[in-house]
Amino acid sequence: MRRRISLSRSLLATAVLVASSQIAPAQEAAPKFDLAIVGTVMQTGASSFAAVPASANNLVVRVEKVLDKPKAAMLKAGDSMTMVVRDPSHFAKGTRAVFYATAWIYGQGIAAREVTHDLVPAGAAEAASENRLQQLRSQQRDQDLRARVTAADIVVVGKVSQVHPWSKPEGGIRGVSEHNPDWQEAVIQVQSAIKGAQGQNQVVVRFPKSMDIAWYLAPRFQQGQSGTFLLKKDVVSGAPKAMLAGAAVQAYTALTSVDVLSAEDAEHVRAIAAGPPGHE
Amino acid sequence: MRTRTMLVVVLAITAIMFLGCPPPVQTNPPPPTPGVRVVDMIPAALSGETQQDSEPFLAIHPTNPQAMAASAFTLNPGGPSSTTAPIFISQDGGQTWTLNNVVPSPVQTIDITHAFDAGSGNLFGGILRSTDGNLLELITTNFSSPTVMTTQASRPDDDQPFVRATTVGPNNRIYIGSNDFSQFATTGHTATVDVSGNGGGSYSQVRVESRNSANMTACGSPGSQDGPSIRPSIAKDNTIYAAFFGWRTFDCSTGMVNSDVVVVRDDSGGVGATPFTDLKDPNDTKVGVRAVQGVNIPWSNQQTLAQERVGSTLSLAVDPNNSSMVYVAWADRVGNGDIYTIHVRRSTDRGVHWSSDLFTQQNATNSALAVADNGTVGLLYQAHVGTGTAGVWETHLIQTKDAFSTRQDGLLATTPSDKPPAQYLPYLGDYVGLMAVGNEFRGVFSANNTPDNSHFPQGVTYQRVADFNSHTLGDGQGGTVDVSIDVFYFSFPVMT
Repeated sequence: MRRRISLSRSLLATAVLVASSQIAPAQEAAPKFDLAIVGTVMQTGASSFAAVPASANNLVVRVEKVLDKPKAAMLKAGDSMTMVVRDPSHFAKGTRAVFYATAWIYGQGIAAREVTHDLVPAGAAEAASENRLQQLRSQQRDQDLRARVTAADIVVVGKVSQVHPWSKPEGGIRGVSEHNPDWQEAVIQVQSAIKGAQGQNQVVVRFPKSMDIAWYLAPRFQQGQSGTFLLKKDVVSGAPKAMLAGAAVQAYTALTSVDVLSAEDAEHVRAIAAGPPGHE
Repeated sequence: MRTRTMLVVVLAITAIMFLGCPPPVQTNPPPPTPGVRVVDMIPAALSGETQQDSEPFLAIHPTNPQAMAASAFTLNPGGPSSTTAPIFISQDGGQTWTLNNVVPSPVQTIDITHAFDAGSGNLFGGILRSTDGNLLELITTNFSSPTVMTTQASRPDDDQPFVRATTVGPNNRIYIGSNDFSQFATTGHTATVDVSGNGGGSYSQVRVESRNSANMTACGSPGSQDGPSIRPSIAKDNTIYAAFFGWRTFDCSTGMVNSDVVVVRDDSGGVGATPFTDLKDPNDTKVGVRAVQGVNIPWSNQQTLAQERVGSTLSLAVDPNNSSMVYVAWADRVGNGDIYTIHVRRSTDRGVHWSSDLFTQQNATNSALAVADNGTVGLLYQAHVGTGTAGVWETHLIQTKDAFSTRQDGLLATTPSDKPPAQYLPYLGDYVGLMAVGNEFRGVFSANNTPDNSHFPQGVTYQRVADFNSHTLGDGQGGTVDVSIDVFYFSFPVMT
C-alpha cells in the first residue's frame, strides 16, 4: 500500500513537469545517470571551462538545485557547468530543465552528458523534480536488482554458520600473483530459497580475504551474519566443487557488495524474483 | 658608505656569535630547485574525493608534449553502476588535470599502463578489467574524446601489463610486457612481451624466458612461473630491451623468491622471426643475460614496508640516443636488516656485461628509470624512513651523469606513512611513472595529500580545495574532507 501511494505521488509530480519529457515509460529500461540538477541554460554552443572540447551540443547551464550527484563531486547551486545534450534544438538561452546526466569530465568544473531531461516551467514546484528523481532512482534500483537476480544461480535467505580458509585442492590455482584472492569459505544455513536451492539446507560460498585492489570491495562473510544472498556458481577460483560434510557440492560466490543484502530485503527480492519486469 | 654599513653589520653579527650565543641550528630544508613543478592531480571538481589513488603511470604525447595522459587506481566518480574507468589528461604541460572516463573497465581497473606512439599520438593501453581480471589491449586515436577506448585484443589469466610504443615508418609498434599464466602449467615461461608491428591490429606473444622458472607444485599448484614485472624499453634506433624477474625458486611457507634479473634485447624492433633473442648470456649461452643472479625477493601481499606490500619492483631504461647504454633497477632483500632494498646497475655494451651496484637505497620501492636526451639518468623511488607515527614516505628523483658517482637528489615529497589507513593494496603502487622529454624529467607518484608545504620541499600546487594554513582539505561547500592518497605529477629540469 505504501508503495502504491508513493508511486501515485511520483506520477502526480511527473504530471507537473511539462511535456517533452524523454523518459521512458516504467516498463522500459530506466535511464542510468549519476547527476541530476535543476538548471537554466545560460549559453548554447559554449562550455563552462576550457578543458571541454567545443561542440554545438554543449550548453552552459547555471545550477539552480543539485538533486543528486556523485559524493566526491563539487557542485552546488549557483555554479555553472557544461551539459552536452543529445539535441540542442530543444534548448535556448533561458530554458529551464531538470537534467539527468552522467558526468564526463571533472576539471575546473564539471561537464556531463545528458541522459534525458524534463523541461520545467518557471515557478514549477521543486518538490516535483525531487519526487520524479525518487521515482527514477527506484526504477533504476529495481531494474538493477532484477538483473542481478536473473544473473544469480541461486538466491537464498540464511545465516552464516561458519567461516574458514579454503584448503585449495591440487591444481586448483594458477600461480602466484599480487591479485591472488586468498579464498575463504562460508557455510550458509538456508532459511528460505528465493531462486533455486530447493531442498538445500546449506550452501558453500567462497569469498576473498585479500586486500588487493582486485578484491577489496568484495563482501567479507562473518559467522552469525544474516542476509539475503544472490549467489553465482563459482567459475572464478578454478575449482567449482567444495566439500561439505564429506561430500562434494557446488561452490558459489558473491563478489560484489550488491549481491549481499540484509535479511530485511528478502521480501522485496522475492517480489522482484517472482514478478514480471515492470510490475514489482 | 654602503661598504662601511655592511662591515658594521658583519662585525656585529660576528661579535654576537662569539659572545655566548649558541650557534644557530639549521632546521630549514634546502630551497626548492628552480623550475620544479609538483601538482596534486585531483581536479577541483572532485574536491570531495577520498579514494586511494595508487599505482600511477604517465604517457606524454609525441608531437605536443603539453598533452599527457596519466592513470592510477582512481574510481569513476559515478559509482558502482559506472561502466568505465578514468584516465587523467592534461593539455597544458601538467599544470591542470581533468578526469576522462574512457577506459572499458567498470568503475576502475586492477592494473593499467599506457603509452603514446611516436607518430600521430594514438594512445595504447594495457589493463586488467575490474570485472574478470582479463587483460585488455586498448587504443584510442583521441585520448581526450569521450569515446571509450577500443579493445584490440584480450585474454584471461594475465598480470601487470606494461605498455611501451613507438612508430617506425607508417607503422605503430606496441610492446606490452606481462606475466601470462597461460604458460603456467606447460612451459612455465610466463614472462611475455606482446608485440604488435601493425598498430595493435594483431599481437604475437613472445616468451622471453629461456630457463626453468620457479616450480610452484609444492604450493599446491603444479606449474612454474616468473615474477609479474616485465618491463620493455625502446631506443630511438628501435633497439628494444625488456627486463624481467626470472624466478628460480619460491618458498611457499615464507614467500621468499630466489630470482635472476634477466635482460633480453632485439635489434630490429621485435618484429622479426626470432624476436628478443639478440642477447645471450656469456655464462650459459642461453637467451637473456642475467644482470644479477640469485637475489632474494620477499613476495608479500600484505603490509610489509610500512603499509605497502613488496615483491615486484623492477625498472629498465635505455639511453634513447645510445642503445648500448642501458640501466636496470630492482628491489630485493639484502639481509642486512633491510626489508626491501633498491639496486641500480648499468651495461655499456648492449646488455652483455653489467656493472656491480651503482646505487642502493634501503627500505625503498617503486623504482622507475628514464634517460634524458643528454644522457642524464633519472631514478624515481619512494623510501620509507622512520617508524610508527614518525614514519614518512620520501619520494626522490635522483639524477646522475656519471653512473651515480655524483648525483643530484631532488626530494619531491616527505609524507606521513601511517595515515591514511590503507583501503587496499598496493598502498602507493607496485610501480610509478617516469619519463624524459626534452630538458625535463616528468613523473607521477602517489602520496598522502595533507596540504602541508613542509611535505613538499619543491613546492606544490593543489587543484582541489585545500587550506595550507590549517592543513585541511575542503569539499568546496563548507565541509572538510578526509586525508587520502592522491596522485601527484611533477616536472624536474634535467641536470646539465
